[in-house]
Amino acid sequence: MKFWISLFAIALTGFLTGLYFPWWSFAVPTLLIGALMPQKGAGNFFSGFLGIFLLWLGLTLWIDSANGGLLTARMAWVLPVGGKVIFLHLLTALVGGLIAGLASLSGKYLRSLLPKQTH
Amino acid sequence: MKYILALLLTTLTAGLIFVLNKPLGALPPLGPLLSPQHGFWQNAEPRDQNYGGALNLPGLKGSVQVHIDDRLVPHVFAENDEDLYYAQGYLHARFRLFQLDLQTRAAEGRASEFAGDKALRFDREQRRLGMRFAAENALLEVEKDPLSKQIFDAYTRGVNAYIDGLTFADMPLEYKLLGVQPERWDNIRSALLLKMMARNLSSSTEIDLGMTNAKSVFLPEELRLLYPQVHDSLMPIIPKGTVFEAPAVKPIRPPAADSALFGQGGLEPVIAEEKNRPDPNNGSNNWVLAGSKTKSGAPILCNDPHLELSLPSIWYEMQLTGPTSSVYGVTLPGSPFVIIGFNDSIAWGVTNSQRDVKDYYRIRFKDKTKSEYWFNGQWQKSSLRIEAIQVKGQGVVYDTVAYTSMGPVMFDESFGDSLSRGENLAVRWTGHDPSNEAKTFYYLNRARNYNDYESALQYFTCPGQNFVFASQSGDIAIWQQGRFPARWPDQGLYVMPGEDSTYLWQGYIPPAANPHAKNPEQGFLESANQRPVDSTYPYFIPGRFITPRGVTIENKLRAMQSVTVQDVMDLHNDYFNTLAEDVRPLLLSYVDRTKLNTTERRYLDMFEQWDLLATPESKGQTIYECWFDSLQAAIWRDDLERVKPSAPWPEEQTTFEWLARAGERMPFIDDRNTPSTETLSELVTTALQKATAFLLPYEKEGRLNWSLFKEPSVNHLLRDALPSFARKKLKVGGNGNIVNAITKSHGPSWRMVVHLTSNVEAYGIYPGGQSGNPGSRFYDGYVDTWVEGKYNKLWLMRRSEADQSAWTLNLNPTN
Repeated sequence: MKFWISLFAIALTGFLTGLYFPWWSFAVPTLLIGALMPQKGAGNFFSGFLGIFLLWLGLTLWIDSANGGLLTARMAWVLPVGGKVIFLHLLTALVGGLIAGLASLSGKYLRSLLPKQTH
Repeated sequence: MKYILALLLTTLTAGLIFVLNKPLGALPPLGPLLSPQHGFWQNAEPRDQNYGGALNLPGLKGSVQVHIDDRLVPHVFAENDEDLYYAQGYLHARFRLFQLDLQTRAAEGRASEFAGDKALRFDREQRRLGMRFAAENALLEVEKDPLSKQIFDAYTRGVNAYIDGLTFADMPLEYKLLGVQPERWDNIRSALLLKMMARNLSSSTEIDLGMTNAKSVFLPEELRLLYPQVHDSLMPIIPKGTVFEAPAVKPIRPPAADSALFGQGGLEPVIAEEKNRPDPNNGSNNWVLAGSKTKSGAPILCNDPHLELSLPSIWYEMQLTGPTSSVYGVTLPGSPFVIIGFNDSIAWGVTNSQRDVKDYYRIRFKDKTKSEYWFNGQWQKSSLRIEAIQVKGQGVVYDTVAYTSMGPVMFDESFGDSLSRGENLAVRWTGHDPSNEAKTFYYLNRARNYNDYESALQYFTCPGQNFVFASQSGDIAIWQQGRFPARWPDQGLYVMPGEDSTYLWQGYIPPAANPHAKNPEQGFLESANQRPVDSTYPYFIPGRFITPRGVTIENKLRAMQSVTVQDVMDLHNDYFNTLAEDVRPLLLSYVDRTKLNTTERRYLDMFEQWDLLATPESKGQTIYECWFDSLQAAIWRDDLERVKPSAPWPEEQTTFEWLARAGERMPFIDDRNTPSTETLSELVTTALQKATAFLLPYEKEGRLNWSLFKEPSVNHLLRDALPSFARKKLKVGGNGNIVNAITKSHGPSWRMVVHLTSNVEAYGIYPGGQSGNPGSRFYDGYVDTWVEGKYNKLWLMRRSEADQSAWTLNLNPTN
């Protein structure tokens, strides 16, 4: 449950910060959410990773379909994905997901540095 | 342990962000580029994007309605002229910002800011030619004139209103890819854009340096035949038989000219050379038919300027309606006004005059500081201009250019060929002279009749242009307009001594003596970059004239009667190869069939049966081009390679006419590198054999068809850097010498037909689209229409028709 709540919160805050702040700004709420909702094992990494991965993938698929695939067909030869549009989507989502996964995990470990009683 | 982990992970996260925020080798910063809410995804416009709406913009006086049609052409309605040009600036920036910015920075010699040190040579050349100096002189003229200043200021405010409202997400894709920022607009940048047009159109119309080199090998009479002033087959713009008045200005040939230009002192070859010469095919066609020649009885005007084809296109279609004008046509992003177009009374179009308005003078400096040069018997002070070139990723590179009374010293020991021996060459160019060409367009946009047109032209100095004109009231006319030096014979063909004022230009041809014609008996006028007049014109007017297209157009128009709009559209798209029509009998009469093998004979048959049309499917055109090229090489290479470092090649027309006149007696036929004496028949035969050998691999790949061989393309402005933003391998024929003048990446950049009936009817097409955004469906939408030779109907919208537009954008002043 904690996994899904943090995944959803990370995606939502990621979307909102993206509207107003620089491209990497989702990392800040992601880290905070990771700190507020620490999970066992790799749970933090994956809630962060999937939260942004799915958000970005959803956005790019939506944008691409509204655009009729015009720009991705051209960009797939500019970026090193060998003309494969699907890799453009995956590369984008992977970049966002990786940063978010690490940010969420960083949050968990940063929290563990805090004195226990403040919780 | 947890400390280390926390530190490690946080650093890793921040580090990843940091790395993705920076360029990675050749790749742009990936983070901002890939983010769906910031990066290139934001440039992917929804297909159902709404271009309408309402905006409050600073600096507007009243409100402006922009009715945008379903081709994304804005029809601007403004209450006053300032707001009209403000809106034009805003829309240029909205749809073509990267183009505006790149073209004017490049004009100034700042391309390195985008491209790094590979553009440094280009930038230095622009600066050494004095592009900024030229624009500053033009801007002084603009600012002296309150009307022009007001309009330029308004245009600049409009561009900046758009730039100031930009977020990273809205920025044109190219900025995100290059990792650079847009720069705010300034009046000088509009001046720079117009000077860039001047450079492109009047800078490769001389071959002075190459001619100077050629002097070291060829005799003066040979030079006259190699680079003739008037071709035998010339059909001039001004109908033959027109009587010209005696010259009002009679330039005096310096007594020492012969020895200075052709004697011992003049034998020194010039080592310097321009590397970035504009395409010599920067030509164009225009013609106009009087009512007596048309089916409707109303004049028809046509124009197709041939320029580098690019995405976005150099042109942007617009309607500009204000209190004093309502005009439709193509505009140049970066400049106010419609450049080629029509209103409800008149239409106009332009072609390049190809006249030589740029000369070089050899300068003697006192010492290495270049602060003094020898002139008229004393040391004169030069002014030194320090050029600071920002190179992307490398800081600033400095260059110093000395300015003399003749102009900037473009070439010196620091700039020229690697073999340079320190020749100092100053360049005298009419593009440097104070002028305000924009005013011509201001008045043409508002012209109602012939007199308005004629008076609008007086402001046009450089580049020399052929302005063709037609009015609803039935007048047709053409003027070759520009400021042209009055030269003594041979003046300006070669580098001249720069130590003595007798070699300077002594005056200009009076504007009234510029070639012109109005309502000729023949009922039509045309220009296609040919020499404007026959040899009876009383001034010496060198240039790089192109003969064949004018011959084709003249012949076709003469034969046409009851001309319709469809007829002239067919002429725009005409593939007839006039030069090949002349050359073919010559090649066929000299080729020795007994020496050919089966394949070569097969190629000869294809050529013989060719219909002389350079259609995309034509194989005969491909064989013709390769055969004649190969023959040209056989005739000239051995002679020209004696010239160090190089001499210009004679034109195809010249080679043909010489062979037609002299046949076997043409003096350059023999290959001096062989002991035997070659005959023309041997050369023609060997040339066919070579052409066949060259083309056979193409044929095996199925690429003998002219368009498959030539592979015409419309490239993105950044060319090879973004091949997927281009449209390649287009199925079009044509060539530089053919009316439909499409070469590999160059050709009819705008085709326009205006039928001046009581309700003006007009058609146009350019190979691009209204939006500069590669993520828009309007980016390249016209390319296919252009390839098919079709046109869009041009809609000079009335206010009452505004409800038929697709979108309306209201621009209102901020309170």
